[in-house]
Amino acid sequence: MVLSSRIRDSFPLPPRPADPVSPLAVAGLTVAYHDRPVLWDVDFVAPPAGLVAVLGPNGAGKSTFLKAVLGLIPKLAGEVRFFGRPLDRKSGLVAYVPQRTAVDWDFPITAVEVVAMGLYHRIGWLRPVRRRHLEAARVQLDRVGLADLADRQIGQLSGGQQQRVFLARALAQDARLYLLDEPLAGIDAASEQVVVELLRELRATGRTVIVVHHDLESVPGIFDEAMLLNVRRIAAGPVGTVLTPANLARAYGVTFAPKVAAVVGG
Amino acid sequence: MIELADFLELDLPALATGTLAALACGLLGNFLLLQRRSLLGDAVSHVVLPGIVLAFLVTGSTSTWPMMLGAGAAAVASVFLIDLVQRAARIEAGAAMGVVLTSLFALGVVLLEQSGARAVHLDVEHALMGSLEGIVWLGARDFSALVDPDRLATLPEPLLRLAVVTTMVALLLLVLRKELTIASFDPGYATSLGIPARAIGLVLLVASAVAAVAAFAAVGAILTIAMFVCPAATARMLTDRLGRQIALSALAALLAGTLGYALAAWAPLLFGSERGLGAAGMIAVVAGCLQGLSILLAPRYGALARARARSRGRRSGEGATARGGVP
Amino acid sequence: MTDLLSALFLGAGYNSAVATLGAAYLGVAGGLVGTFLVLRRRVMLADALSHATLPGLVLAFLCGLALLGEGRILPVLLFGAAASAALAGLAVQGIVANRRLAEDAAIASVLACFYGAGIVLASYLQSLPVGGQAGLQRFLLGSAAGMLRGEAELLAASAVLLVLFTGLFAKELRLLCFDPVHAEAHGWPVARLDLLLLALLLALLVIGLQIVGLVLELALVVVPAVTARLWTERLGRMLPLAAAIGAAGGWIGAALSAALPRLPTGPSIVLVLAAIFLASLIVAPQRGLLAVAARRRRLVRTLAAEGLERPGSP
Repeated sequence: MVLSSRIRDSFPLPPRPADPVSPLAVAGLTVAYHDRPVLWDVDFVAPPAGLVAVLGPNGAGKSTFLKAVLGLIPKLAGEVRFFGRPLDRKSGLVAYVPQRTAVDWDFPITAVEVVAMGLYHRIGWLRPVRRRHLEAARVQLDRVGLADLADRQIGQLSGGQQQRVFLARALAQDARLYLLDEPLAGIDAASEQVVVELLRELRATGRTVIVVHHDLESVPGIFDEAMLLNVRRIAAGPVGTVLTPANLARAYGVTFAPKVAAVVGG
Repeated sequence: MIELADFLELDLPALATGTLAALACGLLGNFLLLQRRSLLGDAVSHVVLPGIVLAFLVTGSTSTWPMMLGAGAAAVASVFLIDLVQRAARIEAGAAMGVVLTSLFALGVVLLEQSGARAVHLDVEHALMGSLEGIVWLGARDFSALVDPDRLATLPEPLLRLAVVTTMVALLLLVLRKELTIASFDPGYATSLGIPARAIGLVLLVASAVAAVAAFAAVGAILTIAMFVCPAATARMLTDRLGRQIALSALAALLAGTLGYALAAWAPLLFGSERGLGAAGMIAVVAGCLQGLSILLAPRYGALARARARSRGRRSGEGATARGGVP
Repeated sequence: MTDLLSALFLGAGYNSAVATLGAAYLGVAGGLVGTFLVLRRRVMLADALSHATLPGLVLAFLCGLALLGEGRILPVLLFGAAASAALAGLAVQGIVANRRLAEDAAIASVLACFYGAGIVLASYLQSLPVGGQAGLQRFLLGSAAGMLRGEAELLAASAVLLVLFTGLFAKELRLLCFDPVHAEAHGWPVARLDLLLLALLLALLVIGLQIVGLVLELALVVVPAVTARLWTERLGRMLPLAAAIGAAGGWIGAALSAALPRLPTGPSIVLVLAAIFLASLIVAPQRGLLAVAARRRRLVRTLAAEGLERPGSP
């Protein structure tokens, strides 16, 4: 299950030149469900390469942040720029890994077919998935150590293996910015090791990876930067400067009620 | 005894129409099932009635196209309405669907009863029961009619309509299979990749509406639901591969259509009765029986297989998972 | 107009008055049972069960014909309806227990197949050389006008009984819907309470067949409850509210149907309920569309005010 160096060496990610423009710059992002604000005036700038954790208590708007940034849910206000431009989804520059619980794992589809979805934007509309696409998908499955399980129906994989399939799909996309929603939640130690190693590999090849994460303890060991959210942005920057007792108390302590809550009576 | 001329004039068109209806709806049902929107087939087939009545009231004609358009528009509108009610009232999808489909169906019935539409050949009973037996191919006396272009041009309209719709549905699944799959499996990821999952979902619903409208005239509103759900559910029990599931669902639809019609039309003859039974209903019953059989006997997920796996698991002292895999 | 007024105030004949009262009580029961079902997220089950009464109805009619020489015997018909609906409930339960197919697929397929079987049986009945088959027609869309005196009285009496019975178990059902885990931990027989709820639903659907008709009975269960939900967040208020809305729908709908020509009772009741729902959806104080829109406007204004204070974008 552990990545063999042979596999890694034979499929190296080409290093990218440093981009002068941030992969993701967010200004004043505000999102509301009906009339209840979920994110309020969030600013965020991602480093050109590195691992960034998005942290905060339940209901702080962490997943919403990723979805709103990607335009999957409408935003009330704010501006989002990828590499200095509005998002061009078809470019495949930005890879999204949804929460594992967001999909139906009983779906009649195999692991390799799921990974091949990472190539759909390149295959183009109305064209079928061909053998060579599946071969390319197998290569990515190999990178996450699941080559043997490529033809299994996805429901027969363990939670950690399912998460690795999702990651392999994002790898197949060969993006420059990765947005991952809780990739380390509820998975076994072996899978966690594979996932973390891959994240580091992405960083080493100049990618930016933004990860919604819930386990504060593991943050310093994995991530370079962090953003602490609770509807508003509490703090952002290098992990050491973000995870201070004062910031954590503001995020997790007394329920943070933005002043809008009082205004709108929500 | 069954006479050839009777078969060609009466049985063949009805049989073909029922089977095509099952096929068109059954193919689409695969994706509705996987999106857990099987009840949308329910909603869509109910609102066909108000759509047809409204189209008649607006245009004043009973010609086919205005009615098809009206029904299709009503079906699409109902989908938006369900979505609106669900979000505005903040209730689960099932409850929203219940509110919308009963209200619209009631509206359709009242419009039909109150307006002059009842005088023309629309009535609630047909909407609820279907009238497969009314589909006849007049003048087809022998097999040469099957290759005679002049005769073929007189094939009954519902049959031709369903043939076109079934072909279109099959093409749609063929061409959009990859997009429908990703939009059904992981709409969020699909959208992030520039594949508009919502729009694709809408295409599926419009296609379902069209299929429901085409099937409606032959089998009625409620039996259309059986066509949407049963073949796909039967196939779902039997396989874990999408391609095979679609093929098996088509097979189940064909079987239900032919066997159902045969039972309804010819089984009573064996008991000396001259009148056939309701063919549309019988097709639904056969579709349901196929589904029931597959639920009981499917090799891996069937009730018997699971019971056996459980008892074996208990004997070997480890809790075998009934799902046949790690949850 | 005077017809309508007299129907509304029960002045349009004894049968019609009893039927109208019965419809109102039916509405009360629908509101109560529906509230619990909506909270348990099982409301579409009502659609499957009501459609599944059809084969039972026809079989009972045929049995009555064969054994007693008369098909239209209401208690026999209702017993048949209840039996086949119960069978449908078991079928849904069985499919869901197998865990391969989701509940919505189970409900849709059971609904359609039972209904299909009903149609096959009905077509057999129609081929018989006896009269009285028309008596079954009214079970599809409901017809208060077609009821015999004894039938109307039976309906009204059972509706009253059903309301009393539901009220009796309201506390236990509240517990079931509010926090089933907690209820189970405290020794409440949750599975049996679920069964009780289904039994109440079954009774409601069977009693309502002649008034609302099997095609539209779902509305009786879902619309009052969902409408009440728009007005309040509290179960304690939702129950009486749903009961009142159901009663209004039943009463006004049945009266309208009695007074106006060519207006079947079921659709009439459903449209009255739908009108109440639509009005509530717009004007309800917390969840209504107008209220939400107003609050959202205020939110956007607040945002604009804050936006002015915020330093420029990076």
